Amino acid sequence: MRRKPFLKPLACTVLFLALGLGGSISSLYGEEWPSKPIQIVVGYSAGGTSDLVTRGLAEPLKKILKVPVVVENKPGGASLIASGYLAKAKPDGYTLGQVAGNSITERPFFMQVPFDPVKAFSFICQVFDYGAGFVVKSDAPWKTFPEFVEAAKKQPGKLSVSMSGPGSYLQVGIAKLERKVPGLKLKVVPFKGGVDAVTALLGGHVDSCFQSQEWRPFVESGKLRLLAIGGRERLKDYPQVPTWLDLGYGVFAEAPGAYAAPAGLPGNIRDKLEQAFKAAMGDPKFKATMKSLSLVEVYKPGKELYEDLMKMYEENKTTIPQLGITEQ
Amino acid sequence: MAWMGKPFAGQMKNSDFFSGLFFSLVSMASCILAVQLGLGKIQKPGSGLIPFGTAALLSLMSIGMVFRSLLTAKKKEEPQKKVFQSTRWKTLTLVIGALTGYGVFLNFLGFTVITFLLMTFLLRVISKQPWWRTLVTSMLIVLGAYFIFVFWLDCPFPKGIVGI
Amino acid sequence: METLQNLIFGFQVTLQPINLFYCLIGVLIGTLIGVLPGIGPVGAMSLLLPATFHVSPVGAVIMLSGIYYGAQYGGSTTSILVNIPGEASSVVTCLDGYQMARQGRAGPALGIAAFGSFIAATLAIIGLIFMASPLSNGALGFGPPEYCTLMCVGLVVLTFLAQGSMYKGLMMALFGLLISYIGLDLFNAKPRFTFGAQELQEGVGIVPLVMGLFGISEILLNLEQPLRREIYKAKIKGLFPTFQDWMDAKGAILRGSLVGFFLGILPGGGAVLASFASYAIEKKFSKYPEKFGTGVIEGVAAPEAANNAAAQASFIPLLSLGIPPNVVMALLFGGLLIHGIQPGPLLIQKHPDLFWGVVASMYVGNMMLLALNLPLIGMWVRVLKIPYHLLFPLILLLCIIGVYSVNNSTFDIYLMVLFGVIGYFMQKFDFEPAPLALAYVLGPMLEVSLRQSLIMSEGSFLIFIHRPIPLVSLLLIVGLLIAQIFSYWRKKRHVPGASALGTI
Repeated sequence: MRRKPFLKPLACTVLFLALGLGGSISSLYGEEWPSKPIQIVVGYSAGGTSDLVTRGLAEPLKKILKVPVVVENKPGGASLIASGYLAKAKPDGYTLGQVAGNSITERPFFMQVPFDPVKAFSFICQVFDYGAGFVVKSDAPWKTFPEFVEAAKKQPGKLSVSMSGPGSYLQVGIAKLERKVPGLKLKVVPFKGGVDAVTALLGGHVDSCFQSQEWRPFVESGKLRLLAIGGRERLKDYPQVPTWLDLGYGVFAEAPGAYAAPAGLPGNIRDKLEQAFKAAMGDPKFKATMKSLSLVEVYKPGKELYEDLMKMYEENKTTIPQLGITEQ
Repeated sequence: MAWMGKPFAGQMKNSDFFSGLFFSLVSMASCILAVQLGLGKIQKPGSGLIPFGTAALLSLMSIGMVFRSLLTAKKKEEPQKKVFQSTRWKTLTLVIGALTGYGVFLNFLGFTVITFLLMTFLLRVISKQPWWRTLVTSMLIVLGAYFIFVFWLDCPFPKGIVGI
Repeated sequence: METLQNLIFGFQVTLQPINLFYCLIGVLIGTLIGVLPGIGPVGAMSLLLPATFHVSPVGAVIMLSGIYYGAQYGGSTTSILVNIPGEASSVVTCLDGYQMARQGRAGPALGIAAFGSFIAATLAIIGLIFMASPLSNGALGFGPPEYCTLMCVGLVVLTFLAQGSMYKGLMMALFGLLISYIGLDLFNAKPRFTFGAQELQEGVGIVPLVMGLFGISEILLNLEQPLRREIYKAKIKGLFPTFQDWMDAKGAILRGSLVGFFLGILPGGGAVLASFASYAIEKKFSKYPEKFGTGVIEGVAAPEAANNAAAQASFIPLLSLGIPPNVVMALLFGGLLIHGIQPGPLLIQKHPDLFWGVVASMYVGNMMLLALNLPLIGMWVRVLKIPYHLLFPLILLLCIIGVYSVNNSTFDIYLMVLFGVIGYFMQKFDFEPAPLALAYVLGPMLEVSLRQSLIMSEGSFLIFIHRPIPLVSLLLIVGLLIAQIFSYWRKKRHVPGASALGTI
């Protein structure tokens, strides 16, 4: 009878399993945080600005926290999928994520979000703002934003503005502006990404574009003209361009880029993380990255950020349904 | 039926009745779902308008197919090969089941273990290999996959309760 | 001859040993990534993006670009060998490429794919050098109405692809469109056809769809044969394309390059459109159209040339305008930003070494890829000789890994299995998967651009007639349809029993 050589494969399998068990047992022993790599989940694909900011932070964070800091991309659903993943993760300080402020303040009113906007996250801090600029082509007849508004009022519903959608803070911003300025009615043409929205403007298919920062290289090269900023503060590179608040419209559109952990994160770990992030933001290489990405660096401690977000959330709860943009 | 067959002459078989039926059902269900989404006007399409148009067109085509299969089947007396004559239902179900099971247990058992189990299952049950060849090949495949994807390419595969 | 001077300058930059090294790494990784189904160039580039931080800007871009077009070469390999498209633009290559592999002609198929890709890339690079500026301005002129009608043309052309009944091909295309609607509506964020599943909010995903429809279903079909039966003919008929092959394919390569180059410039979907447009053109003008789909060399040469030309052409909007035409280019864009370089109209002026260095590196990279892939053909052919009952678990595993690695989601695995089953039954009932997959890619663009156009025109359909490009496209569609019906009547008159024939 032929002896079936099964001992070797059997031994291999047993060895295999034993190694695995051993590996998992060692991680059961609790050690002081941080004792293993930290993961930061980003809701956009690698190479995008959100991703690059995070990677820019990861380097100095690694030096400060003395553990590897790994960026993981989970693109999709305008970062909602990643946020949903984060909300369900263990609040042990090893899984963090980048959360866009408007996932909390705007999107829940447009679509189902895979987390509770009020309770899901423990915010570490805000690091940047996506910004919002209103641009037109440089050969357009409107040299200032009020000029554009006047022209639009004369032909309601005729001038078009492109932006990325749906349910974006940009859309809400424009709608709020229309509400505040009587007689202003713009044709909103949504696109699947900021780049497409800006390209449409470049090609002359729309009259204007309201977008986060994809217009930068074109304003710099003179192809597009920046008329106004939707955020609360002017941009350092374009100090002469007014904000909507400066112009007296009483609305603003901002999109904080923040980092958070799942709710339930122990307070001392959260504080340590906040300090680490703050220090990382001071890293010169990070500052250079931010400059090249044309993002607005804004530091806001987690508690303050959360309060601001909740304020806007409550406000939007009543305002957004009134804007009439949730249904087409 | 020649006039109808001209631009779209396909080799109509009896099986077309069933496939036509399937598509008719799916497309009509989609029509209903699309209407629920809101059609809007043609100048201002709602969410469901274009899906409705697509589904409606598909329904028409599928229903057309059903009718044609009914009408031409009587004329043609060719011996129709049964569609599922060569199907091995057991193999089919086992493979699909194995793949689904992989998805179910991947997070629980971890990439390495579940891959090993899948390979073993496929080689032993479907390909009917002798045990030794099954286990050795599975081990080699798993080690190779681990080396390429986990070690070299750093793919974040789940580690499962065993921790590998 | 300022351009010539710039080119020489570019070669000087590229041929520096360190940049050559980055180029080599890039194309190597790209090929590997392309061969492994599912883990597309985006995955690879994102894995390597952190590494590029520490590298000079020129080097980083050379490497990332190498990965991109290297993946195109690799993607055709799996399409031919195991009927699994590495990317959406390789779907069409499966049609004839896989059949050639089954007939023992994997070598010539791979060879003509490699050579055709190289020739196409070379031609495209020449086009890039001389026509970058006017072409990119032309690309800007493509707004929503232009895209919409272009996609419509694509849909019509798509149905010409079907080998069997065009009727069923059209049904498959419509079905593909329906599947593409699954997800969130761009205009009001309403979930459509998602049945409440969070994972479906982004839609089904091209990878699970394609892997299931092509890869899994093919395996399920093959498993019906007795296990000892050859799936791939063991007698290999030569490793390289024969002289006859070259004669047949030369026109296809040239035409494919042309189509690929011009369509590749268009942001979004240019490469996919180019691949099946070139296939359809070859089929239309061939003396033996009914043979397409059974393993005709032109059926491999044309789409391969097209998708490589398109891959090169997609650099044009990025480098000269600063507009990334697809996800991969957007990643490259990010890579450039990290190094403080703003791609855009000023790129050529501010960083001439980068621009011309990259252009020259494309040529060098393509040469490396050719040198790399040709010897590998022997290896791939050897792999196919593994008995199928040992090979198929490996293929299944690669499919699973490929699909899982996109989103780390087991839901995608289930989707893939589902589409595998659907594909299996479809093919049993004589429906072809290719039109479905291609329509799935076109669908979103068509719908979105249609609705955008209607917003722009405030509901008027006249926008499609008032602009030159849509008007031409619409006339083209009408022309194509008339030509189709005409060729039917001619067939019917010559061969009275033609109505019984299946093929178009």
